Amino acid sequence: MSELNIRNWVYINDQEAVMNDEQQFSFKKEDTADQKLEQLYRSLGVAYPKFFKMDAQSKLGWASAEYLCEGGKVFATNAPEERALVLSNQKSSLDTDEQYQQSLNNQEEFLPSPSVFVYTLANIVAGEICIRHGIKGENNFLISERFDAEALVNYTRILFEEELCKQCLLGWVEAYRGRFKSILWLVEKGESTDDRLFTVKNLNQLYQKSEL
Amino acid sequence: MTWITGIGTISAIGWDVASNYRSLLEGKDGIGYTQYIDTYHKMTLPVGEVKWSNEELISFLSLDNRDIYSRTELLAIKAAKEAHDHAGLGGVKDRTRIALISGTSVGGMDLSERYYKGYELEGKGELVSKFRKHGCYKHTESTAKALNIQGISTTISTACSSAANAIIYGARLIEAGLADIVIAGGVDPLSKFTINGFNSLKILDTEPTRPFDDSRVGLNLAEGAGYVVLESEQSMKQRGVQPLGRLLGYANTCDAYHQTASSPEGKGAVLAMSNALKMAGVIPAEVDYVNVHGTGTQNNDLSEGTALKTVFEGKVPSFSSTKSYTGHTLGASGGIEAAYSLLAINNGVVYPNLRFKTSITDLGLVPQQQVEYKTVNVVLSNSFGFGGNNTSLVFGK
Amino acid sequence: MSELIANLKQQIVQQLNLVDIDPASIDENAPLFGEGLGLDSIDALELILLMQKNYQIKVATAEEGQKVFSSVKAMADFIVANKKA
Repeated sequence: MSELNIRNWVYINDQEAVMNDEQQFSFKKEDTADQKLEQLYRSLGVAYPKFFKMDAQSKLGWASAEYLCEGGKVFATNAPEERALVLSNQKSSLDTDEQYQQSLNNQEEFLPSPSVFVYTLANIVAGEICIRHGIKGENNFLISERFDAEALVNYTRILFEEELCKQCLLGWVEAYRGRFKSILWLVEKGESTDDRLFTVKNLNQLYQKSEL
Repeated sequence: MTWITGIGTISAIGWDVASNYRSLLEGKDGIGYTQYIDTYHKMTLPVGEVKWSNEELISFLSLDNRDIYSRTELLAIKAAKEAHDHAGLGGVKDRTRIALISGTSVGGMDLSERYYKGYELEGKGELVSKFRKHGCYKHTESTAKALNIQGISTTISTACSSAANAIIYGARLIEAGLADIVIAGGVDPLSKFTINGFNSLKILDTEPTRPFDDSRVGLNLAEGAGYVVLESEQSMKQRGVQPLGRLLGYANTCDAYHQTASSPEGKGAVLAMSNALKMAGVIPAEVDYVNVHGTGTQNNDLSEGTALKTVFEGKVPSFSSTKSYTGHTLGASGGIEAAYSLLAINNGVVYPNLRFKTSITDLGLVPQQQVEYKTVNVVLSNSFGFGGNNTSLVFGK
Repeated sequence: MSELIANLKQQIVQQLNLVDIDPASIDENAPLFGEGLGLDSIDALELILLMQKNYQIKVATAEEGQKVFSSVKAMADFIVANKKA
């Protein structure tokens, strides 16, 4: 098989959004997660009202994919079925699970919200990204105690080897109690340079760099 | 080539594979009011509950009863152990060549919600230790430990297609030479969390569910676990064991339509089914039985039915939703239904879709209505999840 | 009635997180679903909650909701009819 090349990468943590080594946005320390994510959305200059209905994790994933896919441009040459998505994190949808649980504990006003419940699944952020970018190939969500570059690389390599995709978005997305962190890669076949080779080492290196 | 050499399951219709199979043939469903969950809806919303308590499971599995277990862990260990023993894996010396891939949607939610109120009131204290079982990956760790599995172990969470996706991942590990044997499937417990959540989406039936019936109004939430043992040909021959069947093909696609609803034409479902059949090298006319996703909601059955008609060009083979027996076990359903599919192949039988009376208007599809013994060479099994995550598996002799 | 309609528009924007929509700009006679605000089936369920929370009125099923939530005006009419009853 020919090499797999990292075409784009992006990480977003509590301080900044960085794509391919260039800072895209920097957050003010005093702002809340909600404010930060809304600023990010505004800075992207895309009208997508659905954004405001998402939970923090989906907003984060959505914004990360927006950078990574250059507003959808990266998919110009491939069909929706040839695009795949593999995400991972540790806490699944715990942030929204807790919010939903609180509404179940509210005895005076027992009105659990359907729109909150919808986001109490890890893979809803994957669904949101697929809807936004018309990704109709394989999508999966792996849960592990810590960032597992090996699992992501194995999984993605097999997708390419089985010719199930021509492009794959993969990485880690997690938002919990006002803090967030995403790190995503867009991988495709092609010539690569050492620092853009799709390897466990390169993924781990970038992950380290994105840690606060 | 990926073979299947063992199956294990626990559900509302039985403690093990044999009792599940008996219930399927006798037309006995497991839908009723909960014995174990103190929910607001306990007398109004019937569920598919596993009939054994946590204490009974702990004692059966000979686990240390001083420790705390989520029901998720207990159900997973019970069913995975059955599959493990069925395949005779106890004799496998190199435990690093056995992998475990498990799917779940809520993880240890049943345990956490019992303590959550106390946690809020008392702040962080000793209760914190009870939450260490919350993570989705925890039941996978516990199962690997209980069965002494030392190969790759990963947890998948893609809502109701979790177990089916675990089976895909397991098959790939074998094809890629990363494992010889993989126990793959999934588990989900009943919880107040999901009962109230699905109720807020207004897709729960207050009666036993009627999948693919025109009068269907929703699903019955349920719990359970189901696992299959996947094995490479070489390992199977070396061990000298008989296979139950093969995983001929599989596919996962995204509907990319809505977070929870399926597209009206079932585009993602069509793509999943046809890609899986293509990979299996099977033409639609060769499929003997389809174990449909068939949740019994307005949206799923109409969308899936439309997709079936597209894939099979109007000539839909025998099909039924065994969720009419078990209820919808969410992340476990793909594992439980994989076991049912293999039983269908090995026993040459297809199961009825309980409580069906009238075809869905505009669709005109009639599911299997009684137990029928016939040659079953190829089974297609569907699992579709929220997030538009659609999976189809093809099993064969 | 006009006050009820104005309140409803506010509540809809809030309940459905229509962050960039000015409540006053919602046409009370225009269909709420299918066009305009881009609402979906989950929004319909949220509107059922809105009716229960703010007006103590129960809309039993999503099907009933389709009629009740056809427009802001229809919602207001439904509230008036059910409050008197």
